[in-house]
Amino acid sequence: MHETSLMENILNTAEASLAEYNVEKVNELTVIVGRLANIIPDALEFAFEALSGRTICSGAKLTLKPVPIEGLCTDCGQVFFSTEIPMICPGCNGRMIEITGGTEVYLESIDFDEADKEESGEQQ
Amino acid sequence: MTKIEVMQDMMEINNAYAADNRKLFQKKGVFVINIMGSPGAGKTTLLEKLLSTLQQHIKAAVIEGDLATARDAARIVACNVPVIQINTNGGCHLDAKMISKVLPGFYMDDIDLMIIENVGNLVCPAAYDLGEDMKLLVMSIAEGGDKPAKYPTAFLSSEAVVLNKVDLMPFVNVDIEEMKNEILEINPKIKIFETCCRQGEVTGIDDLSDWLVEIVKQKKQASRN
Repeated sequence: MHETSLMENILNTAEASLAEYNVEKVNELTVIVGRLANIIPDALEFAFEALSGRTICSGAKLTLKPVPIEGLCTDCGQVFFSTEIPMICPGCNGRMIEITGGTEVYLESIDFDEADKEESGEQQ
Repeated sequence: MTKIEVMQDMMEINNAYAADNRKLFQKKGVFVINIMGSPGAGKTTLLEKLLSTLQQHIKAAVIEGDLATARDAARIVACNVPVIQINTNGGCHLDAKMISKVLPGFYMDDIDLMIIENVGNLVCPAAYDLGEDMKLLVMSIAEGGDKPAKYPTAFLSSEAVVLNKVDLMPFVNVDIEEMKNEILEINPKIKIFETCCRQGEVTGIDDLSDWLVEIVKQKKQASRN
């Protein structure tokens, strides 16, 4: 249950990333969640609802993008992706797999509307 | 509509602290174990037994993580080992920053092995790198054979698992060989130890201790070269 602190991180990062823009409304936050990140999507969405109201992201949509587990077969060297545990190498059916990805949580992108640029006198 | 790519790692702050911790441990030649397991798996009792054996060979220190109280630290102090308690005040795991905060309280030059006992929880601790050399999972056989499949990250990220309370075998509906197969199904590389820490019936501690002493000495040697 560390979804709440992760969501605080996500919202703080979004705020910092948007600081240089004249934001009217944030539409969507896209977050990459590895299958092995031990994140419960419902809990992350709940944390977003609970915490975003006071932030620039109030009213935005949260999109979670699950990414598969990446493994390196230590028998044949093949790198492959899987959504399931146990990991089995598709090349040699090997079981000695080093996990090389799938634990990550990234704020991928932010979609937003800018306030009238002419009015603010800024040009992008 | 404007879209910006952020691609910011949400674990970056933790990972930066973990890297700093790791660098310090490396410099001092300290081997670090992060012990994870459910509440009641027997982590602290295992530590008590393990420390008395380990101390004949190497110098250990302990960081105790708990939601509240200093009870576990008090038990470790009785083993004559330097110990610092971290209370997470309800937090479900230790993070690398909490560890970095307490490290100045230890005299690192006098430590071969740092044991971090994480908060009792099979989920969140597995997601936080503390700067350790390896994770060690403690699981009592009474928890049931389905745990590896239900908590794969903890088993995947651990180098060894200790099946504790094997003395309960006659009382619980568990086939220990099947349990081991379930664990190896998830992580074929994991080492499995069996222990009993009940007073007067202690078993399996020597095997675990011998294995640890060997890898701790290897790291010490490597840091001298």
